[in-house]
Amino acid sequence: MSKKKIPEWRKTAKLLLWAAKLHIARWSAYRMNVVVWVFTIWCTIAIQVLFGALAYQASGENIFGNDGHTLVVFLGMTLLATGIAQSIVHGVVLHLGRCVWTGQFDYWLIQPPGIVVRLFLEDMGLVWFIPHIFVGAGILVWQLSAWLAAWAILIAIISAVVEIGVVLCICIPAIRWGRWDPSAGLWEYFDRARTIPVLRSGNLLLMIISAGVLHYSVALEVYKGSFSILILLAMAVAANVGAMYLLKNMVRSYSSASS
Amino acid sequence: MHSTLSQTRVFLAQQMIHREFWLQVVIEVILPVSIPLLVWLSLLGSGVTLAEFTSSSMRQYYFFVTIIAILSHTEIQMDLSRLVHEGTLSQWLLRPSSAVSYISSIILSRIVTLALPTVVVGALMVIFDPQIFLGMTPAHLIAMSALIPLAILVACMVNILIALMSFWFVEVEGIFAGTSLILGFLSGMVMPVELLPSIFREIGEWVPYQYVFAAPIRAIIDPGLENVKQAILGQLIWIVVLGALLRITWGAGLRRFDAVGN
Repeated sequence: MSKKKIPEWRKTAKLLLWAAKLHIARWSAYRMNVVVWVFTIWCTIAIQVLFGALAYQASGENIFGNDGHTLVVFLGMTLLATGIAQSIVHGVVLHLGRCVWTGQFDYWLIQPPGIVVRLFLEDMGLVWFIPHIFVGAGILVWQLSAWLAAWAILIAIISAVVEIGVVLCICIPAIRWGRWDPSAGLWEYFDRARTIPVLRSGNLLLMIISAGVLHYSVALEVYKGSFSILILLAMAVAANVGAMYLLKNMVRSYSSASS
Repeated sequence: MHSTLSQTRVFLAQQMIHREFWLQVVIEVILPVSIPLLVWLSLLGSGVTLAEFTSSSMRQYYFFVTIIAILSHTEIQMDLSRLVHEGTLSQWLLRPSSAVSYISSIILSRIVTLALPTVVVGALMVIFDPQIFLGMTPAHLIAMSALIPLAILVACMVNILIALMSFWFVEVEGIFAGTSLILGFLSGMVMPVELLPSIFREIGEWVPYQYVFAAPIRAIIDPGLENVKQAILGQLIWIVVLGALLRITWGAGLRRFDAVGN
């Protein structure tokens, strides 16, 4: 009797599901930490929203060409996108750093599944940023008609892919050659920088300093129809191709001992 | 004292191995502080009025926020929580060199390391915005030399107090991030307190970080005797209060400490 071969994608899907279950079980054991971090993250968001609201009021209710409604949509899109992105990438970076520095990365390289799937299996970072996804999507559904909300959600998903690529592009070289995990600092910087869309501020220095989150301003322009979605897609492809290139170089140069 | 200085030299040498610390300061301190400044400057440039602030006074305000934020970014809470959770604090309780000396040396070595980004930020301001310094008198310099070290001391004491929560909690990094964020916001780190709604201004008057950012910066920018006196008095009161709280928390924490890590 011939045994039916299980397709590779189903094996991967099963592994990912199992990883998600383990991840939630693990964080359930540290409920207090999760609560503290979720509280801290939402305090940051509240402070930034207040800063945005004060800047908006001071500007005569039109900040850099955006009215209140647009800013609320921008908030929804950024929350949803950063929720998706950080849910995936935060744990990836955290575990990648630990594995490379302790020499455990060997196991990632020699045991199935492949390195990219393995990255996502190790720690899915799901818990802290789950509220972002619900609140962000909720804001979009509450503020927009069904079609517009779907459009904004699609743009947010592409922005999330850009954010994943940007974080990996910064973190992979830092982990491999700098023995440093900048993800916590990056999170702080991203949260502060993406409060207000700055693309139309006319301040070059502000745009340079906000470069890590400039894709959110581009996303808003795509939502408003000023830019083509292809620009955002190109940014997503570029950031992730860069990340994969750096990962390839990291794997090649990894010396199989704690580094 | 000699032992503290020797340990400071050792930690400084360790710190020099991890030079990425400077990049961390750029990402975690300098960039986040620069963004609100540039937003306010863009708004001021388009004719918006922000309390009594002009572009120049806003730049001056955020310059001092950046300097104090950099110098108080000692991250001592991470070292302390590691000491408690790994159980290595016990060796500092037994050795002739005390735990206080050990903690002081870490803080001193970090401040020396942080001097570099502080000087770089100062030099950049001198090059690109010399007006900030042109109007400075000896009174400004005297006020700065007294207020900034005291502000850093208050910030370090708050950080240590939060770090001592390690005796009760497994992870204090989240508690530290949340507390310093709220305290910083209420005391002018994100934006000048004059721009905050009155409810937040009133709450901010009662937190120690008021004497890390808002009050000292006000006194440095306008070094009238009354402003300087009020800021220094506030800083000294908070140093005494925090000192007492540290003593109580340290004693209570040590009674709980099981010296095997957790």
